[in-house]
Amino acid sequence: MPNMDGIELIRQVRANSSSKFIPIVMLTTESQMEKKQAGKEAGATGWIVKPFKPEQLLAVVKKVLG
Amino acid sequence: MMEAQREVYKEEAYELLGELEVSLLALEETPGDGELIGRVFRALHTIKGSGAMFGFDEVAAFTHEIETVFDLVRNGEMIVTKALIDLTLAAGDQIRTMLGSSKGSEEADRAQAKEIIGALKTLLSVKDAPAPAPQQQTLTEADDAELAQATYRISLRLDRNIFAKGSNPVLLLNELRDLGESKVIAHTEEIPNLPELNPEECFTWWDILLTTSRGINAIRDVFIFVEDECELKIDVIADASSLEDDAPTKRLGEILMDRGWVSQEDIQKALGKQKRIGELLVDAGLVQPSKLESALAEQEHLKAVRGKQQKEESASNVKVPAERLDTLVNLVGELVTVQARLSQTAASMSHTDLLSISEEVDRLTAELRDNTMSIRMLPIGTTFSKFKRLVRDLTNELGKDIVMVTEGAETELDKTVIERLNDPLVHLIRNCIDHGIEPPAVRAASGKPRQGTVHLSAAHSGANVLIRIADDGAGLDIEAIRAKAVEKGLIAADAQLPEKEIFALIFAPGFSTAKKVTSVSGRGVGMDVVKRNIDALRGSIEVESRKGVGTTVTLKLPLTLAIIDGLLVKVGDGHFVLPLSIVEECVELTREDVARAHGRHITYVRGDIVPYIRLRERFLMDGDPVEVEQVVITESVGGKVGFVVDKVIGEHQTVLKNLGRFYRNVEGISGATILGDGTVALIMDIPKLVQGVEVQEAMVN
Repeated sequence: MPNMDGIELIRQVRANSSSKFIPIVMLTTESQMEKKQAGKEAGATGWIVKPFKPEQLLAVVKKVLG
Repeated sequence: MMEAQREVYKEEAYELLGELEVSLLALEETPGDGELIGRVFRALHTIKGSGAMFGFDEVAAFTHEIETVFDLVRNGEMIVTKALIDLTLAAGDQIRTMLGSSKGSEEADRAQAKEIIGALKTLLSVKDAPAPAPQQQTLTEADDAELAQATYRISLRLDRNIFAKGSNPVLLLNELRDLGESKVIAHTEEIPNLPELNPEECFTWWDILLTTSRGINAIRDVFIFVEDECELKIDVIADASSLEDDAPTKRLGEILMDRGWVSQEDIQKALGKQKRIGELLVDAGLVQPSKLESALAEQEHLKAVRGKQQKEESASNVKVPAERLDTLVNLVGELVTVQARLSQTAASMSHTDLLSISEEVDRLTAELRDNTMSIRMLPIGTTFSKFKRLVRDLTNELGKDIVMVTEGAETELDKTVIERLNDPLVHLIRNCIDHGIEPPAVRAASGKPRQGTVHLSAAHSGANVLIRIADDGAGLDIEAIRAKAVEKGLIAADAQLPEKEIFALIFAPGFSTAKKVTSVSGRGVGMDVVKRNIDALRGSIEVESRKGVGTTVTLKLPLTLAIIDGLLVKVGDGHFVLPLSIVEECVELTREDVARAHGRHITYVRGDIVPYIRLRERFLMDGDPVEVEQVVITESVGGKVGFVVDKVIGEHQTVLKNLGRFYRNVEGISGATILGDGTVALIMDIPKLVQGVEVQEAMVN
């Protein structure tokens, strides 16, 4: 993304009162465990590790949206 | 005497034949399954044995031959082949015919029986290699089987800031609920008083009791995204062995002690006094009320689980002739009607004692009604297995390769609905097989798997049951349907219709686009009959289709046909009933509201715009509307729609009566019911009414 990375995006979404409770799922690779931690601290709801199957994505979205 | 016993035997034999068929079809999929082979053998054996006892000698002799073959299969001396299954299925049909004819079998049947036995003998003579040990396959499959059932106590304390991460605890709890029978106890003591409360933080914590066979990992998986931000404790409090043994359910004190919330001494001290232990502990300030509630819930949950298990073990059935059930339902219907009269009389006399009696009778009647209705509920699976046979036979006949997948066989529906659903479903499935799914070669050419699939599923949706028949065939040809409809004069050549309405045309009488007539379908008598049958069940049909991808037909049916909960309303002098299941709420409609909408039929409910239909106008009733009208808001597939009435009277147990022949085709009315004072109330068919108004609006525009 230009201007901003995903973690910064999460931070800004969380800082906005109209969007702060929206579930956010991030996509990480196996090697980026510290990124995952950073994302979680920024306020990510869940994560998917690459490579992933479409069903996994659906299951996670269903999990966080109910 | 003998005659009555023969009848009983026949009943039993028909049931066994059904079982035989189901087992055979399953066996075709897993030919090595020792248990299925055993089931086939036992069914045949019982038919033979009891047949000889009650003088069905020919049946017994014939069945004996087939039993002999399956004895070999059972001993692993012969393997299950398609030919064997085919023959045995044919033999099952033969036995059925033999049972049907009163004096043994007739000449033609005898020839058929000989033929089957002859073919079986040929099979026997070519049997060569012994079967590959039939038991093994079942063992490997058992690996995937569910783990033993166990009950867990899950204690969950989420991070206070969990909401700020977009997580919703309710979703987590719901996910746990999906795993098995559960009970959730919320601990709310830590929620601060209103002035100090930060509503964006989570102060509640939970104890969840869950009985599941999915194992502890499935439970942990639920919390995968929050495991770092929560205190999670999962304990097994009872597993299969402890549920089975006869040990008494854990006592409250033991449970509290297990959790480390009280000590042995606390309990001893408390027991010294003569009060209920739970109250004592709370009074003494040793346990918070919600913790006590949680522990009590655990006790109850375990009792319930064990009770259910015992019930399952000793579940016994009573066979009752269907007519007796029908009589019972009719009687309950009468009772409900009389009860309505009692309520009305009691209310008008304003006699307090009488009123309380009438209320009690009301409650009992409602319970009796629900119970009676549940007796009539049957799982739809029984019909599903019949269709499996149908699919198999038709597939062979038409040279196609099709499997049927079923889902939701345990869905329960009223017995009469299931019975009357049979013919329409047969038509629809035949259609899938004949018109829908292409021959294997065509499928392969268009890049689809050679084998086609018919998906039959049933599921509950509110007070309705949805039945879906989906195929992955060629889909409906929208242009062909349109052309045919124009040719038949059903629509104008230049009519602009949405896709859905074009698909609906296939239900018009005499409509069929199949170019050639096969023995299976194509005469164009099927679909309109289907539609009529479903209409008669107060259901609806919807068709979705994509060319080259497949067709899905969805049937929406009411759970029961006899008695429903309704909302009784009044317009002028007329009474109407709306099915309570779709009523959302009732709001007032004043003259100012009407004026504010500038002549449009809409009202505002908490900021939402809800369109409404004036029943007075719709049914062309005389008289002026009252000063403050009522809008009954209903929720259906298309969204919310209000119905404007003069007065909402209240809930009404509605015994459905069909309308007479003259009125049967009145649009928007699905039936009638008799009120306490003997007057008749009409039952509104909400979807039809809405549809009618929509069509009218479309024409005006």
